[in-house]
Amino acid sequence: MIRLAVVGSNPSAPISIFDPGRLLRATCVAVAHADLAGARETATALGTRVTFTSWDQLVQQHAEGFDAVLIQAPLESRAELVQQAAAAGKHVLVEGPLAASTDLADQATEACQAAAVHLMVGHEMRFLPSNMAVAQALKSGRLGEPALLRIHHWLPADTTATFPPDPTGDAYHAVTIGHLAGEIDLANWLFQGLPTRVYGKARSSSTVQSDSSSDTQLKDYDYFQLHLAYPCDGMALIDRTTALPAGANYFSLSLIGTTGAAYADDHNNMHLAYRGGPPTAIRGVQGDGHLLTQVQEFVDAIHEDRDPVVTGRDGQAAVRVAEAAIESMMTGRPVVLD
Amino acid sequence: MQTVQNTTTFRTAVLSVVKHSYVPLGVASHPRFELVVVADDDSQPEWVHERNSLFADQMSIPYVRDVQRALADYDVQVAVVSSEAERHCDLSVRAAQAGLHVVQDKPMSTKLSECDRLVEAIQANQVKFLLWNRNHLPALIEARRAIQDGAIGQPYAMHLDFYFSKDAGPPKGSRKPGDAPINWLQRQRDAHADGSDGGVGAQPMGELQIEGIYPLAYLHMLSGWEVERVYTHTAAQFHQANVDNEVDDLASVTLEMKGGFLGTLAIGRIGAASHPDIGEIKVHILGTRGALVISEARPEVSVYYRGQPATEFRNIRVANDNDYQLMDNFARAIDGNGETDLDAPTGRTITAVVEAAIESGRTGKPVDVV
Repeated sequence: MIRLAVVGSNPSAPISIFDPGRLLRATCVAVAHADLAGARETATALGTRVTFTSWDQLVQQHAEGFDAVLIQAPLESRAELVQQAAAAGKHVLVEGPLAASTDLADQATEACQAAAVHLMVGHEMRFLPSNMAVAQALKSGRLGEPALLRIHHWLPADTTATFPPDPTGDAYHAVTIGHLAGEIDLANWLFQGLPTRVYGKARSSSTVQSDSSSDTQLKDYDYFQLHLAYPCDGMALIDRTTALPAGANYFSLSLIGTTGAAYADDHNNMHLAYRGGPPTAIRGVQGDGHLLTQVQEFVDAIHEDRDPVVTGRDGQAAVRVAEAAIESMMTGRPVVLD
Repeated sequence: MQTVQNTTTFRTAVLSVVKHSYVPLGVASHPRFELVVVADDDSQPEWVHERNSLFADQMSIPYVRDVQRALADYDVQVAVVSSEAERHCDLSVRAAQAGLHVVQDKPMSTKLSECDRLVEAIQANQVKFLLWNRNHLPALIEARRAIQDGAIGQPYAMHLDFYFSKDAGPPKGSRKPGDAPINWLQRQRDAHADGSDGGVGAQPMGELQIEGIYPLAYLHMLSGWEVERVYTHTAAQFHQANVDNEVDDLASVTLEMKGGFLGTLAIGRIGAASHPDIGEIKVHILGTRGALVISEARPEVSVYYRGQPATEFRNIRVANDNDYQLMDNFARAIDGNGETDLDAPTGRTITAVVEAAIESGRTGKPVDVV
């Protein structure tokens, strides 16, 4: 039985949203977060009463009581927490993206390798049932080789997002990585590798701007589009906005393969409600089961002493490509990756 | 107030009909256009004359192997051009110089210089020109109406998917050692029977060049945006004919528009196995107050039955009035009510975008549209 501790208790963080009663061969034993009320709320949901107000307190008082940590923390502090967990000999599942920069991602990954603990990055979109179905069809060989991936991911503005009191270009850089890394990881996963070229564009939805960009202008951008070239003539188009009106989001993934294609599109999964006037679309939801699947994969990887589906190297790669995309947005030129 | 409808009928010459006959038939779907003659140059190869003659027989009209004589003898006011792509503009220019209004199949041309020549001829002779398009499909009309009504505020990004799930001869990798490369024109001629000869002509064309006009015409109609710069990846992933002739059958394009608007285009001839119908054709539009997701195929009706051929589309498009609406617009333009839905300068602009996209795909660099 793997004993899990949750670090960071944001109740809406995806890492800790799962039914503990359905988790196999693992149990949640502690929650650590500066906000004790939040920690208790998360602990109750995960079936434990053991709470701490900091990572340090958790390690000092309960180091022998847990085997692995689920880290859900602001992006700026994730890499450091991963390194501390590795130093304490704990396996790590950390919310994605792994880090705010490629260097930090490298450091986190290397720390886990040195400590011989498993590191998994929580890019939960890989575990969404529709995306898993696409990946399985691809893996089966029925679609041939991946040729053109298209992702639309549209979300309403995140009104809970906060910046540090005196945000710098680095903070906006990190937020932009947060915007891009999930979809990039999905593309890297489906193409089983890194892109060779990255072309990125970004805009503010409210004030369409010229091409001149700077780190501080990143703060205005809520619309991004990426154009990626993969080996063997693979290509991907990704667009992401956080400027939908409040309400539901939209996700669409289509993968054109050399011998077939798969379409996972919210547009094709709509119900209709008639309440006078034009009908209203109601999206067929996929639920939160993929978040349990994600944690279960982490637990299984520890038990089986194998790499999890999303490794630290994968997490580092997503950050690296996101940084290349930001560079392309700034320069207006495609960025070639080694 | 009652308006008086103009009922003048336009006698129409079909100048070459070597590709599908859908354009001349589309023209004839409007009661104000009467096909009266098919014509082509006598110097054309025999297979061209055979196709022209066959269509003339089907329509019970004469076939004349002399374009200038047909235009002079049959009192025509309109020409419909549906030849090989490389001859499109030349036939259209000759029709315009004879004072005829012109409806032309896509693509506008394989050369931008030919488009320039045509734009000049249309303007110099003060005739109307319509480049065939799909802008009047029901879904596109709905999208345009929603945008005009302000349903999503000011659009700021548009994404176009235009996948035709058709085969195009032997699949990639099927050529055996020692086999000759597939001859493009012969392959297109062979494809006439199943209607997959959209690229008919001696000059090989990729999907960007053959079909790019359609989604880029959607962009133009829905937004009016002017594409300034493109960045493209292209590949030949599916069909041996495309590999052998070094033209794309799959492409992705980043579109950068004047005013800072953005968009993308995904286009390909992805094989019949990759979609149950003609293909995934969609428009995604983001605006300041919402978004639209449009499927070009809708409305459609699904039909399934025992023994259904594998190649038969399961979903049948309905309420498609595109042909009539295009020609109605053309007739009104001739009557003096403005420009056509896709006039010569716009067609030329779209051809320039396609040309820049192909150049970007070749060089791996963003390319300015000229």
